[in-house]
Amino acid sequence: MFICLENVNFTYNLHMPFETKALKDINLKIDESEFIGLIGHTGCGKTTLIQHFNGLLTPTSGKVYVEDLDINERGVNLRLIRQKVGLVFQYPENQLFEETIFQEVAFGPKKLGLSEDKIEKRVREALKMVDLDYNLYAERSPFSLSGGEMRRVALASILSIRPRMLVLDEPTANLDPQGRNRILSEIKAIHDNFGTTVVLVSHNMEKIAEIVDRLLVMYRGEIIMDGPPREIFEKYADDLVKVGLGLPQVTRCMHELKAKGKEVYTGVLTVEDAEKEILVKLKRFNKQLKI
Amino acid sequence: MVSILIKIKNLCHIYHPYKKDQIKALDNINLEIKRGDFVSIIGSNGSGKSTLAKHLNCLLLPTSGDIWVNGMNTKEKDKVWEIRQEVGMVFQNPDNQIVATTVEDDIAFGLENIGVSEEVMKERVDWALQVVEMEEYKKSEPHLLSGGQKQRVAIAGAIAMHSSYLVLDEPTAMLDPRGRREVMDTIKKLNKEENITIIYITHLMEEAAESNRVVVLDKGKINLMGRPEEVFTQVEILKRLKLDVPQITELALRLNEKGLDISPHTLKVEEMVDHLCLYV
Repeated sequence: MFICLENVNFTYNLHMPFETKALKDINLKIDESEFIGLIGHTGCGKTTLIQHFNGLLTPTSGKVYVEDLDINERGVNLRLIRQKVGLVFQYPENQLFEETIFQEVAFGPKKLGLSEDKIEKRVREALKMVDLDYNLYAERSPFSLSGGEMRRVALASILSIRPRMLVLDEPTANLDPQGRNRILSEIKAIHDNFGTTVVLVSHNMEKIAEIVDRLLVMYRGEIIMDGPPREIFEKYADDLVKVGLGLPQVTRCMHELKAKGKEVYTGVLTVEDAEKEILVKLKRFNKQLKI
Repeated sequence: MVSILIKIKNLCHIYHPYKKDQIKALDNINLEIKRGDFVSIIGSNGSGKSTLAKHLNCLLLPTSGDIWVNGMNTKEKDKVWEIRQEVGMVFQNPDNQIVATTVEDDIAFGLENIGVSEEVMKERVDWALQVVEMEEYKKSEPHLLSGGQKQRVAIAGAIAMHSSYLVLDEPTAMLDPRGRREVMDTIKKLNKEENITIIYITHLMEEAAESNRVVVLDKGKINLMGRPEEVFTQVEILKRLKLDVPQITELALRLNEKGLDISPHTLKVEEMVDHLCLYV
């Protein structure tokens, strides 16, 4: 097990007039190499939750373990924890600051005290992971890039620390569809090739449904659903809408067909799934006609 | 007679025109937006969408070419304030647009600046709040609202000026699905019931599908333009321009190819469901 949260509660402004309970009794286990999606409406506690993964926030009560180590104990080296758990915030391109892309991506490894050779190797490797050509980009200013490219550089500067777990808060907000698909397929490849544990926070139901293996749904500071996306979209469609979320268009299409009394499987996540399901049902129907 | 429309003629805009790294952000744009229209503008990052939007209320001026808002050229310096009153703007991040400590003060901010009497101000604030369905939050503090509610306050602030055009630059980018729905419903209501012209920039194809007309920008040029059902069937062009089609349209296209009698112009889940009910 990689990360474990036990009865975690978190309250902002504790004992103050604006006291807000942001997390309520969270129990969560995340194994090595899982690919997890975290969804929930604005203000439900997603960002608060992920900030507990590497000790940026300390729970008001409860425990957070990273590889069986209670990270909020006295004397724990949080730097080490933050190397293991890399957090990519919303709009990470706002945090770019170096003169060249090389320096930007080298910042983390430099702070780790690596040798020049190793730093260069890490930078090459990280830029490759986000599909930016080292020779073309290394010496350019990060501020001369497009929004999508800047975001990928920001991602590379976390990857160069080689975190075992990557937590991304809305990595696709504001990108055009191609930029969106590209960054998601890069994240997927990082997971598949390096076994990196990934937690992806997103409002984009279509995409998240397609790529994650396990979906966590938060509502008012609690994790109310936890399971494979197919199952959640199949069984709890109405509840998802109730808690301020939506369904992918194709999933909604199948649910509405079912509501009209048609016998269709509603756990479809992609256009391909929906196409297959409809064609299968059609064949069956046509056969009946022939008989 | 004053023409009630936005007319854009041969509009070009170049950033840093005197430097080596000059960028031609808009390249010969010609477009007319009539009163009551609901136009969405899509295009990849860097295609010129926001640059175009900023020209509509004189935040940017053309390098060459002209824009007329109700017959007023945006280059005429003494018309700037009149044009800005006519064309309201709402940006992406609600937190950057809210200036006052209560919702009603925030909506009244623009009105105060143009020196409207207190009575009229109250009347307009109440009207704007009612249109965006936020009456009960009149006295609330904006920072305690949800993202969708904040955006609706920003929209109320713009329409309180009695603008006839509303330009929205990715107003739902930072919102969750419910917030998106709220904002989209508000915009459609403004368009239908108050006859406010909407110019809506978005990266979400599902949202663009709800407008009357879609303009596709690519490298500063208009590449495609038409009704959503016309534009979104051009899958290949859209993909080449780094764009996408709504899931439901893609499904319709695929089923159509397989020989089902489903219109490839299907944009709404409801249409698809009705169609499929005839088969399955």
